Amino acid sequence: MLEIRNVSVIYDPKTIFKKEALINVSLKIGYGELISIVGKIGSGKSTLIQLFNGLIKPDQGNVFLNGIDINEGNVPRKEIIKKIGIVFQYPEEQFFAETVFDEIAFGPRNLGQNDVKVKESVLYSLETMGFNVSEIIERSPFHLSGGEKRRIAIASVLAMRPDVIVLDEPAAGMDYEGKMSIVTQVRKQIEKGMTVVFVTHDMDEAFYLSDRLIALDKGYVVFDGPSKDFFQNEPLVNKIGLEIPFTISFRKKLLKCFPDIPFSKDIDSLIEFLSVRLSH
Amino acid sequence: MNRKNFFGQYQYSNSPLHLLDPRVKILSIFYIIVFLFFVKSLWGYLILLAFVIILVLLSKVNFASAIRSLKPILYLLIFTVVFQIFFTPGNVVFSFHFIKITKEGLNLAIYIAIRLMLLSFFTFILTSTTSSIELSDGFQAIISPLKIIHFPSEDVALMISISLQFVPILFEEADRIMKAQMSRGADFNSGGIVNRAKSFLPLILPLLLNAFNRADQLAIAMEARGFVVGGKRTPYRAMRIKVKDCIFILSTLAVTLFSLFRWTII
Ligand SMILES: Nc1ncnc2c1ncn2[C@@H]1O[C@H](COP(=O)(O)OP(=O)(O)O)[C@@H](O)[C@H]1O
Ligand SMILES: [Mg+2]
Repeated sequence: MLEIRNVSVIYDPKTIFKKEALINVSLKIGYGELISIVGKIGSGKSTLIQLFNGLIKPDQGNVFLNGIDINEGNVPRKEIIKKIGIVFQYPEEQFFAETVFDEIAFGPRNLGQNDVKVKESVLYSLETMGFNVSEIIERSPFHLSGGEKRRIAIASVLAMRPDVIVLDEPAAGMDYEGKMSIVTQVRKQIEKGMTVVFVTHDMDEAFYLSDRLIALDKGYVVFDGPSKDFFQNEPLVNKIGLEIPFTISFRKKLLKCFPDIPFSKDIDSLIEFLSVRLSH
Repeated sequence: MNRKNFFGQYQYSNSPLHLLDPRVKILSIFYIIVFLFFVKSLWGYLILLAFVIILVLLSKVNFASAIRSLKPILYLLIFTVVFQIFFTPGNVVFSFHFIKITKEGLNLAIYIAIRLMLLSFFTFILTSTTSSIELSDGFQAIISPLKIIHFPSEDVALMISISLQFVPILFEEADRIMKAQMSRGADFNSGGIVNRAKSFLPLILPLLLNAFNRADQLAIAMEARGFVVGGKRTPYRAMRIKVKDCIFILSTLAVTLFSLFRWTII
């Protein structure tokens, strides 16, 4: 559905600040996929996702959405953002409206939806993000807790009902509780069968939340495949400066005593396995 | 957006120019810029041009970036040159219908163009070889005699240096918020004047709010570390005039005097 073909992006070309942020990147994203994009700070993650809805134009290569080059001819931006929703890093910094309702309605209104439709979209997205609608809708978005703000910000993009939701470090700068509430909500989207792409440098999150993983290093795609395979390639993970998720290193340590311990994505099933074994 | 190029941004190196006392640099460059308006001969300008080129080479900063520092004033330059060429009365050297170009106009245009270019080159030398901290320390030291008349020189210097550091951050943030709102369907480029002004609200409001928040945090952090308005502060580096500063001052004086002579030989 979304295809990036041989794309390079250069910031400030022809100056001493010239920076090749992405180099000859190609990838395809299909419906219903769960993808995490990982890489160290400055590896080009944010640049990559901004290509998805045309905010950044490639210096080389093409971006196709359902077979159409979004940077060619005059594809209206609204057609693109209707399909690709991007939630930026620290999205609560974009708030401007008096009420949560108006904040979330911003997107749907910009898409030209009528009042009835706008209301429907706002309610849908608030519910999806796990809010008690009547309790939150008239409040000021500025007077919410950090985690709530973040979820409202995500709802404000979900309200446009995109086919794909792209989240740039959705849990950055959150405390553990906030992080968990975000992760749970993202997990819910995934269960609903939505296409979710999320950017993170927390490997536990990446492993827990995604099937497919794309790793970037200095603007190059160095891995694109099942996240399980990526983390089993320890030399590569270390080489690009990332960490092995806790569940994997924990299991590895246990392997010595329990050679038959299953491979698992979440810590709970490991703990269950252990408790069964140890009670024998 | 070329956010990193503002004011000919500081380029780190340890060239002789970087090591000069900031007070000496600020005052000398200021002196030269004022002086520019008193030079009346082409030769004078050429001598100053040679001087600035030598300074750029000495400073080891990227030569191309010096040329690029002209970019912000390019339109001003073109506008004034065109204006002078076409609208100065005098001896006509070229005419076509109602367009008349005069000798005086050409002369004036060339002078103004060179003057503007030199002005921006010298400012570039100052800003690319002096870090913002040095600039603010130097500036503070220079205006500190004003304390006698109860002018809050330290606070003003601090204010200026903080604002200068905020400018690039503000531009980056504007870029970020604009992109975020565009991802929510905001359109900053179409519609009538009223609509367009309205459409900027989702950009301006978050920008202001974040700036206030940041200022608030900065104030708290500064207070927590014992900052008192009007209190006495010790600069990180004591500034002392050294031999190289004297050499710089003397050569600046020599070059400017030199450029005043009318060179009858040529
Ligand atoms: N607007 C910009 N102008 C210039 N350079 C940029 C800009 N945005 C990002 N970069 C540079 O491009 C590289 C990749 O940045 P980014 O995509 O933000 O990485 P990540 O999201 O992985 O941290 C970094 O080296 C960064 O400094
Ligand atoms: Mg990023």
